[in-house]
Amino acid sequence: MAIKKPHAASVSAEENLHRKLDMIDKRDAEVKAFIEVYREEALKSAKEVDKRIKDGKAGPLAGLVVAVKNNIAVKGKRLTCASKMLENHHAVYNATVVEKLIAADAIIIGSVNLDEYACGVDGTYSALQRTRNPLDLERVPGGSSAGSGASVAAGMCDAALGSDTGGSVRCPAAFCNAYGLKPTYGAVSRYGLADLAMSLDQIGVISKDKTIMKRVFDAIRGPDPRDQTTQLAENVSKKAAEVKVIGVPKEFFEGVDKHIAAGVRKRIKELEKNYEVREVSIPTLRYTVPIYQLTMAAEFSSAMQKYDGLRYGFPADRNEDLYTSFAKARDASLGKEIKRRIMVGTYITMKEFKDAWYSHALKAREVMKEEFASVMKDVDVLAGPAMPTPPWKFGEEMTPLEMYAADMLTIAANLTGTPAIVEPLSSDFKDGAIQFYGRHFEDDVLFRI
Amino acid sequence: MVNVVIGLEVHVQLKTKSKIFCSCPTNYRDVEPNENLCPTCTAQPGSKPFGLNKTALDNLLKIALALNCKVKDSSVIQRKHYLYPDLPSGYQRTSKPIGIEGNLGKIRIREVHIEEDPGRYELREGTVDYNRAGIPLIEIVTEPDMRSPDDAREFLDELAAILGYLDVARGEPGSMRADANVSIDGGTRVEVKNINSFSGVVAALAYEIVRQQNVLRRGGKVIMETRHFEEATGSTTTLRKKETEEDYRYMPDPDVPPITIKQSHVTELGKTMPELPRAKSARLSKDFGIRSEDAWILVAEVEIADLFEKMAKKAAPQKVALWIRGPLKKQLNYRELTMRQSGLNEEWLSELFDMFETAELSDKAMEQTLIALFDMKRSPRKIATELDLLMTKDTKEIDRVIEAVVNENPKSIEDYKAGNEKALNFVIGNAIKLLKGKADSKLVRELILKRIKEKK
Amino acid sequence: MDIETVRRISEVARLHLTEDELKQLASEMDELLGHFKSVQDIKPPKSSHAAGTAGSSHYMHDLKNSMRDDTMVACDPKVTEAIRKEFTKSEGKHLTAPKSIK
Repeated sequence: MAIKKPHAASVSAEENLHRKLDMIDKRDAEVKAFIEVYREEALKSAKEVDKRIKDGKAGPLAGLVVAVKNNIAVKGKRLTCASKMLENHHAVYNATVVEKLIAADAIIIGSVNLDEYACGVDGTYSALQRTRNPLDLERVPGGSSAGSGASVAAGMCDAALGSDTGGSVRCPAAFCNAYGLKPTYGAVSRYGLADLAMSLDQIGVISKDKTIMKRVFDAIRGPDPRDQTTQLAENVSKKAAEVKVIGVPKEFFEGVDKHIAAGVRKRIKELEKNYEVREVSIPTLRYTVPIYQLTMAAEFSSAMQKYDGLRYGFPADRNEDLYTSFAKARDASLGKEIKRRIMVGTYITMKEFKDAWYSHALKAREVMKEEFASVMKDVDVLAGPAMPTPPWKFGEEMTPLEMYAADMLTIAANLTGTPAIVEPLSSDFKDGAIQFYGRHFEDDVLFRI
Repeated sequence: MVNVVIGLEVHVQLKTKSKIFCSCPTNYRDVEPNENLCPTCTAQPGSKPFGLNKTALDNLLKIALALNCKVKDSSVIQRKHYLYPDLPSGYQRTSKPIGIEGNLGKIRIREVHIEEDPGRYELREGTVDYNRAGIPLIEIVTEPDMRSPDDAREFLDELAAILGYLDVARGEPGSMRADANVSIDGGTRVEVKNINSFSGVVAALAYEIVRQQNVLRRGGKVIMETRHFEEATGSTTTLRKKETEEDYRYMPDPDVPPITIKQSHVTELGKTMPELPRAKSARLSKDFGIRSEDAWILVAEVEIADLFEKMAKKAAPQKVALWIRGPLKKQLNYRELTMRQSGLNEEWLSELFDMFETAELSDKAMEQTLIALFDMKRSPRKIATELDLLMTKDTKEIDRVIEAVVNENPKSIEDYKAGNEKALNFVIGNAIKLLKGKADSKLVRELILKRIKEKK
Repeated sequence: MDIETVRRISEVARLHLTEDELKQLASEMDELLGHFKSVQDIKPPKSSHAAGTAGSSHYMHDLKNSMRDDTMVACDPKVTEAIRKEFTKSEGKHLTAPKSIK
């Protein structure tokens, strides 16, 4: 196996790690990206990795420092999901992606903050701490992988793993002016990722360096017998896919900040030099938010059933009867947004209400998948803005509906399972980011645009 | 006469080495509590189900075939949501029907499907053990075709026999459970849960029928509810106060792809199936000329039926049948062993039977040899010789003892002459004791009576 | 959405909500669901897989099977110990649970 030197090949793993730890010491008191810094383990790993580099036995991520969103299990470490429910829970196993990072000789520097149970669009729903955008501390870093975006932007790691259910990797990537990837559904194992919505979640990567992001993705992708939905994943894409035609759905520009829209259109114009660019239309895109909210809530209400305060987490009172002990523990330890989503999800899947809601959402999703498939027969990728607005300021009150609407450009990739990448347009996060959608399992193509 | 309608939902643990959705061991009874655990079967945050256990599904398909079910081309694992301490995920993974429209005798089978066993929750102690969580189960749902607890017992006996033949079930105590639905006189249906043995089913039904009758007799109404069977008292108690049905919010599990079942695979499995009890019983009855009720008893375990077939080739079938269902079964039942577990083989048992038939052993000696055979596991002839059980051939000794007991028990003989049969048995017993059991009781009786006559 | 319905939902969801919380959720859910109602307007074209009753997928893939050989892997005692340590209340190796059902 050829040794792939780390990108920052001029420094040792230990030196790289020290730089990142120094940045954490310098800035994390105000950014608050990290929930836990694994200082000692990381230092130990770095020494070992340096030795392996010297012996010529290093893995493909040797020396790269990676932060992990705290809804991904790291054995023996707190897996809080930024919730009071799991505040003191320690994972008893490593997520598959964590095992793969370790096997590739990456150095896991710590766990980073998120919206509680990944339910949020700006990081403010974390029950543990408030993460700030390192590029402007008065502004949100984006969510739900708030800490992933912020730690990358602040130079506290080379890359961060996040999870993306409706845009939760791509939003913080865009808001923190970094690259973000949501792989094809099923390309990366979810074993070890606390569920939000099983058919929408994917683990993604954020980095300031596109090449590093690709290398981390290549290290964590692949089929996993512990996640049955990854059977079609490949360790390296065997498809010799190419981009020739870029489709621009007109719906992607509806309701978008003028400045960002202009910036994205300008970039698309530049792409015309090398690709054919066409306007397309995908009508169901107008319904992404409701389709997503209903589908996601239904699955989330199922995913949250396991939190009853017995096997882990916030303890149920054993002196109450069963019903009361569970109900009180759940109510006391779960945040408002969580309860809201559980209530909606429970409602729409109850026998008497299901046909009016959940069944419709599922059908609508099917229609969206078909529209995408039909459009993507003639175009290779879709392009549009990543987020409709730049990151807002803390304190700007947003209703739940307004929060949900922020996802409108990213959600479709989760509903259809297609891969999507976001790329900053400039060095100023206020200029926004461009987003590309690909076909299923043509993730690699997205890196070549 | 009260009209009873009974339906059963039987849960049987399928025989596999690993759990249904993870690789944990299934020997939950042999280990300490909470030892056979992994992130998946304890629903740790982030855990996911592994692929469905192939052997579990094959075992289920065999049962479906034995119950004459149509096997569907595909099925889906659903989440059945409810919160309970023994349910790690807060939902149970259970499939849609896989086998449908079958039957066992007169009882129609509505459907069979696969599901995961929850852990063990001891309500009174307030303890939970998850070793059992994730063991694969088949659920067999019958139509409400049973009309009495006896119907239920017959159904379950035959089902147990079939499971033994197929060797697809775990078979430990508690590995076969049932929920019963019972209503009387076209009234409200009551569900009884927590029945952990087939014998419990009969007791629960008997109790519940009487309870419902009493309610009606007192002018009350039978409430539609779920009741809890208590093994210790043989009674049912109210489990849930609310009568509204629990809303399980069934949802296909997005983490488990749907199951596809190829008919060719089902056909292949069908070819590996053994002759089943009902067919075997009919054949034994026909080929060996034994009574159908004896044949039915013999086929309860395939090893017993096989034993019979081998022995009946060498000896009078009806006698063999009676001997197997009599003395042999008595010993097996006493030790709570199946024929397979007993470790006894046909060679020994034929030898023993033969010695008995040829009066080398008295009936009591035969029984003693059989008892010893379970432990000593050697040729019965050797055992009987070692234990000095062989019938005495010393006619002089027999005559001497007969003479002695007749002389020494004049009162008993008087009582017998007066009509007391028991008094004679006493004398016979004495004689056999003096002969150290090595004499046939019928023969001794004959000789004593002869002597009594002679003495007159 | 009336309070009684919201209360019933909270029972199914096993959330112990106060009267105020129920009231607030009732109005929030009204607003949210009012917006989500538009999904009912999406009519699948006849050619769509979604047009029939069976044509709605809970799965994000076309996978048709996920069978696994019946291979047993012994449990790591350190992991089972860690799992037991996470129990919020235990006695010996047993998890402690409430002793009464409602």
